[in-house]
Amino acid sequence: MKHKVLVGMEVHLQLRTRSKMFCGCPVKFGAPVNTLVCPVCLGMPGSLPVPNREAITMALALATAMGCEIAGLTKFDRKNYFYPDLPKGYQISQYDRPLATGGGIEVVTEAGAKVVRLRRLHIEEDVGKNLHDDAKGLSRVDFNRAGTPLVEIVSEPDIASPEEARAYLNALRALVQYLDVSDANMQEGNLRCEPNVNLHIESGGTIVKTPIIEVKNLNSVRNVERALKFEIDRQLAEYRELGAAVAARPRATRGYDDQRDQTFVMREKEEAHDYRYFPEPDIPTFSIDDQWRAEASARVPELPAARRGRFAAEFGLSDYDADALTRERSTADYFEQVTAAGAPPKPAANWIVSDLARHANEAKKTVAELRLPPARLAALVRLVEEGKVSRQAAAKDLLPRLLEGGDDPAALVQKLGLARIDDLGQIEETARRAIAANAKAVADYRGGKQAALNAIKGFVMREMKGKADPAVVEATLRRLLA
Amino acid sequence: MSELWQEGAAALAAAVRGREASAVDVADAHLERALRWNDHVEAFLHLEPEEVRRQAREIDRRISAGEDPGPLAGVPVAIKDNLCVRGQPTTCASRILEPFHPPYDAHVVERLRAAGAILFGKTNLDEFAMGSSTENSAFGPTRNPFDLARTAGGSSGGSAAAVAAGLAPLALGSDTGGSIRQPAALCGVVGMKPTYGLVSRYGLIAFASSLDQIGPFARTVDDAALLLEAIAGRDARDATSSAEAVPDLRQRGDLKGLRIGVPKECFGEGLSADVRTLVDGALGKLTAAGARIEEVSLPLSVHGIAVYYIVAPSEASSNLARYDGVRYGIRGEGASVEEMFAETRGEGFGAEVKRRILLGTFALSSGYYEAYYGRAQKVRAAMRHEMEECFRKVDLLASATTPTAAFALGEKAADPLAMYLSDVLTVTANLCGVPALSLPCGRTPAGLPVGLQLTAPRFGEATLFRAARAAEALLPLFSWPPAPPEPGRRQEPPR
Ligand SMILES: [Zn+2]
Repeated sequence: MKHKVLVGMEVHLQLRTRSKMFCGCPVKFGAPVNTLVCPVCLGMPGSLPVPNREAITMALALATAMGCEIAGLTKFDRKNYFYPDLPKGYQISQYDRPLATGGGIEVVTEAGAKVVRLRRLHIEEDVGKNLHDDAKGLSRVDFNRAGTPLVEIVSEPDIASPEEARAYLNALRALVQYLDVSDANMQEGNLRCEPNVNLHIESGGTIVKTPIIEVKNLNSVRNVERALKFEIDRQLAEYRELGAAVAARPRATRGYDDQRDQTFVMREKEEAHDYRYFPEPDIPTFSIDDQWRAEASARVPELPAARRGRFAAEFGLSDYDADALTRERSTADYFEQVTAAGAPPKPAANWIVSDLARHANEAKKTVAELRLPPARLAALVRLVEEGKVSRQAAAKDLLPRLLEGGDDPAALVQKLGLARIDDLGQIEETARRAIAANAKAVADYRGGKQAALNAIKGFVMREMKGKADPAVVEATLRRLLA
Repeated sequence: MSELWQEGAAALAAAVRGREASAVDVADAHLERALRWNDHVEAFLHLEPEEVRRQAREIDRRISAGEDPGPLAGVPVAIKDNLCVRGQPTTCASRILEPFHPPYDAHVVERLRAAGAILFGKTNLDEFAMGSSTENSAFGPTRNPFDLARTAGGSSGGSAAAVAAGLAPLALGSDTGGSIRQPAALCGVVGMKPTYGLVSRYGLIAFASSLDQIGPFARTVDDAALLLEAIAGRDARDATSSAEAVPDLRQRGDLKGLRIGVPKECFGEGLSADVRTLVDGALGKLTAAGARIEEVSLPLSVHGIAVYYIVAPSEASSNLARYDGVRYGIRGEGASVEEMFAETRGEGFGAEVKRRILLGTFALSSGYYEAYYGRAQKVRAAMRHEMEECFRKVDLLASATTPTAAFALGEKAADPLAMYLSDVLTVTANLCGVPALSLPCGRTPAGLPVGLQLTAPRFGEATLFRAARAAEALLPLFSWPPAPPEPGRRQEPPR
């Protein structure tokens, strides 16, 4: 029995505009309840929506970056349904003339690179948020979020595994960060995704299609991956139980419970909800002219994939380093600033990808947010490359000082006594002491255990406070023990 | 000088600005008459004398300080109760909005304040402007000042009656299918629906967004122009508001050489003999004054009512979805949120509003959309095209405004279709987005006013007003309705 996984992704992305989609209220996360509202986003009688041009330009930039075809003529439509968090009883969205169609996102997994095709991209407004106080039996609605611009991006079911789903979301996130159109933070809800998944199972020459399941309640990329893994196993189990009859099961929406790591039925739908879409009469149909397209294109910077390629070619970086540097736009920018400040590119990349990244991780920041001036890192890299200080000492003692605000790496090297020791006599003398003090390791090494040399080398480095060149120490030890 | 309440808006503004009369005197004269008459005509849903006097005192203060409050200084303007006035009841004549006080002014209300006008109460209408007689008001019908047993028309019946009875020199209404022109005709005053997009709808509680326009009521064409001038023009808060320059509404001239088309479809059966006689007489006078009257044909206009009763309820079904009891207005009880929605809407809306919500919901339903809403929009587009073609041949169109003079209250209330047909001559202008004006052209033998409707191409208001002024001079002057039988029965203000 062979099976193929088909995952399509529906992503809602909050655009980082200053004001909401159809009114002037600010877009902000975490403000006190119902303080970012006005008659328009509260759906007060008589209020009218006016489209936010900046939001449309941002969406156009995103569509351009993904190679979508931008509509010449587009319009807004009303999607009608009743819900307490929906102020007008309809959501302004786009139905049969979306802003853009087609295009794709390149995803890279261990299996290689592939393009996930896109079906459409459209703009709509966000709804409010219901707040339930179960103790008091009260429900309230916070409309701060209502009217925030959203872009909905619908993919074709080209995603073939949970890993690809993760890669898709990471690629999309990197893209919107490069474009600076969204924070794309799943925890804060400004990137929400609803994957739909089913299987094509080949058995005895025929293909059985399991019903398409849409999964909701996913608040992290990791949960998307876990939920899809669970759902694939569940659908396979259902097939084993029901056989071909599984195809007749209804399409359904399932929620994901991350405590139990499983999905559960939210609703089974025999037919689609009737949203009674019709053209929004309060907003005239509008066209995207060449000037507007050009304005959007001008906002598309060098994108992650292109930058990765350029870094590898221009600076001779490894694929690993080039990829690690370009995942965050700010990190890639930082790298270029450090090289511009005179650091040789390869070691600079190594410092950023290993040392700075580790500090950033511990501080839950990005590399750029560490705020280490590029010129200072460049000076440090040069000191190491020129042999003024050892790599180890620079990483262990110098970098932390610089991150705490120390300003002149060369002066710090003197002040802290970190200058590299190149005196071969001093190194040889310390090496002899080390051999005398580590009889067992010496015996092991001579007995053929190469790794035993590390213990002796470590002794020398400790004795010399990391200021010697490890390569010189190792060569000296090998000579003395030969 | 005649009584202040008999003066027109232009004269009142001139008197107040020239310090010949104080704004407070003007306000008091109208308040006194309104409080006396309203008991009989029920034109106002809400009129607060103290608030009116407060505004008038402020105008007087500014004038004493040497300021010019604007072209409508001290002129009372009655406001249809579907236009938001900050802090004042704005009910749309519906139970569902009975407790609603909007936190903001409609664009037109802001503009009136800026022009120095006095906001003079909120006038009665059919609930959410759905109707042609104000009998759908949740708070009782408005009566025609010329015959209290008859309708003042609708939906802006309160505004028309207030101006006709001298309770206010000017009033604002809204016109979705004839809701300004039809009551203006039945009450013997001037009523005008502007080009779609000329007046911002911001703060007009929507009935059918693609058809709604706010427009003026007055007793003369000049005064109607004065009010339209004050409210017209681009507003960034309404995306359908036009960037076109406001047409010059002050042009004067004769009718010589003006080509006036008379659509033959407007003179078919259903047009009462009285109305036909008066309209034919008016057209005769226009011809005598040099206008070139010619018959034209708008074959698609016969579908106007059918198209209108798909488009308007469809948009209304969506526009009225926001009345769910969550944020404002009344709230019904219910164990679940769905029950609360149903209870709120079940209690809050009247029968006609429910009927149109159901009609519109059906017309937009999946599987029916193409057959109803989709097709109606196609016919509408063809009607617009037909209208544009027609205006290549003529400058204006003329017809009766309504098929009959004012009908008796209760006469059509039980027959929605008969009621819908009273808009047969007016809906085309809304569907095509063109401006149209109704001006009185005489009275039937029973003393009931009849209106002549003039229609112009989009943004053709300059020609429309110029011709209406010239026609007005040829037609019978406005005359006051007879005094009500028992003046002053109730002195306290209406709710
Ligand atoms: Zn707002």
